[in-house]
Amino acid sequence: MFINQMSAIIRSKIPLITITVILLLIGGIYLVFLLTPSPPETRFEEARMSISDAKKTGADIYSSQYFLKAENLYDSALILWKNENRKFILFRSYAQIDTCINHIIKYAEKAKVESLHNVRNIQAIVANEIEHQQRSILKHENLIKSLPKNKTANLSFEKGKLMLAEARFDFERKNYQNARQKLQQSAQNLNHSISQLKEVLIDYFKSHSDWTEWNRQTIELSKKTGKTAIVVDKMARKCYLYKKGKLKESFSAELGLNWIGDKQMKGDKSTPEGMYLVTKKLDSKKTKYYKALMINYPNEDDQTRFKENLKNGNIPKGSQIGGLIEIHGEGGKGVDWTDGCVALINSDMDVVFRMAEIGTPVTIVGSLAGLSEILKN
Amino acid sequence: MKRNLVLMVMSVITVILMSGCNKIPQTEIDAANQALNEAKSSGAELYLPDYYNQTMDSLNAVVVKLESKKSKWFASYSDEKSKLEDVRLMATQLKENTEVRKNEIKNEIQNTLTEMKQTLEENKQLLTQAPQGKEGKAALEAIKEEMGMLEASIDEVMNLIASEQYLEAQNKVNVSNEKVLAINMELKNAIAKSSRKGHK
Repeated sequence: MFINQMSAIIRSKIPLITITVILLLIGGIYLVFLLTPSPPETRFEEARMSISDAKKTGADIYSSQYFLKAENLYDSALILWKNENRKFILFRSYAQIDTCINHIIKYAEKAKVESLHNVRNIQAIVANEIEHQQRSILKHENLIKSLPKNKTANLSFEKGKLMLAEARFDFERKNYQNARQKLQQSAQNLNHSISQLKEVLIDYFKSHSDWTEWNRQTIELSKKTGKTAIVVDKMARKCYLYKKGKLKESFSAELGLNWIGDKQMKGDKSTPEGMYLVTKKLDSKKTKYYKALMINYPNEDDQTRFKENLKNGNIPKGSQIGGLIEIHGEGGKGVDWTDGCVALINSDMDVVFRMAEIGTPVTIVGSLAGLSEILKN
Repeated sequence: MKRNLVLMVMSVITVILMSGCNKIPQTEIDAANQALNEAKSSGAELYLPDYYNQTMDSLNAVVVKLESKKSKWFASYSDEKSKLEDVRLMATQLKENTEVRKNEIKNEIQNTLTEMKQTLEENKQLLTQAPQGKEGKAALEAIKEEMGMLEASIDEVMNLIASEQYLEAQNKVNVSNEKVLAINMELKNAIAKSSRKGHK
């Protein structure tokens, strides 16, 4: 009787129990969803974008330390996330990942800023270096090309020019690091040839004080006698004509193939340096070089030096001192080509030939300008 | 009624469990990764950097999305599967494009090399015709030296091609070719100048 009564009560409460269970179930599910931590997808997107932005500025190359840190942290954060995902969903925590992402964004931003700064710097450095080397080439090219018997200096100079051209290509491709490496190589080659050039010139210019003195004496003599005097400046490739101590004309001149240095012996294709006199005037019937003024090479100084050089073994035994040095026409070839004479273009030779006479002083010097001036210009 | 209630609860649990057990598309991830690695090995990063970065970025984005799905109760990876397939295709295309670009550069280098060799041969011929007088001797000697240096640069270019450094080889061959052409012009001018003198 009692059991029957209880059953009846329960049966009458079933709808209420069912609703309660369903409500509890829904409440439970809602609570579970509420307690489930939300995944750090947006934060990861932020991190990924910041790394990607940094890379676009070249941070992987120009701020590699910060960029690598950001990348490594990104990988670590991803591993942390995977590890969290292995746990039961309600026990997961993304706090550590969030901190990690903050660092990633910080480092990626630093990498970006540093990279932009470094790119600007290296760009300016490379551009300056290219310009500097280009200027150096312009400044030294003619001197190096005119250096006789110096194949290595010329070749090294040409290699330097090629490397510089390659560096410029890299610069245009924005490959600044490659450009910088090539600039180092080009600088090495250019500096090697320039230092060889300087060595030769420093040695050559040891006689500079003699040259300026010879020039002074020659002009002084022209002033005293009121007559013509000729001064040839080998370095400047110039022939100056003085009358009564005053400069009247200035002509371009071409010299012996091995123009640098004093003439030592016959066949060395050097143009002698010293104070000479015109010994003969040869008109076009007597010379194949239009007109010529022969000078008294070898003079006493030349002969003394030649004997000393022979004695000291500076020149081969059996060498001859040479002669027949002239100022003559048929110049204007644009290169040094004579066997040691001074060549002028025919119209200039006409003027010189007309103004000179037997006994006219002809002074040939290495350079009137000092070495520093030569290198500066 | 009681049976209905039990069935309902069981269904909800089954759906939850089924959804949670949806498998990660590991095969697709591996395939996309492999395709991207192959593109990288072919030099995509160097020859097509923008395209490479874009593909890499796409893959990273899918990986993030996958992990995000794994963090949720109901995970379905069908979208990511299709995105991974897109990335794989992109990477495969990238590899092909890289090979095409490399071949383009290689052909450009070969063409410039051929032109350079021909001009070098022509220059050697021109050297025999150039004015041999004493005024030109030193200049001709210097040109011969420079041509020797340029001939040596052909070997350097070949070595760079052999080591697949095409951009570097292209740079070198372009610069050397310009120099060879400059010498060619210089020699032709010298010959023309001397022949004009001869006619006077």
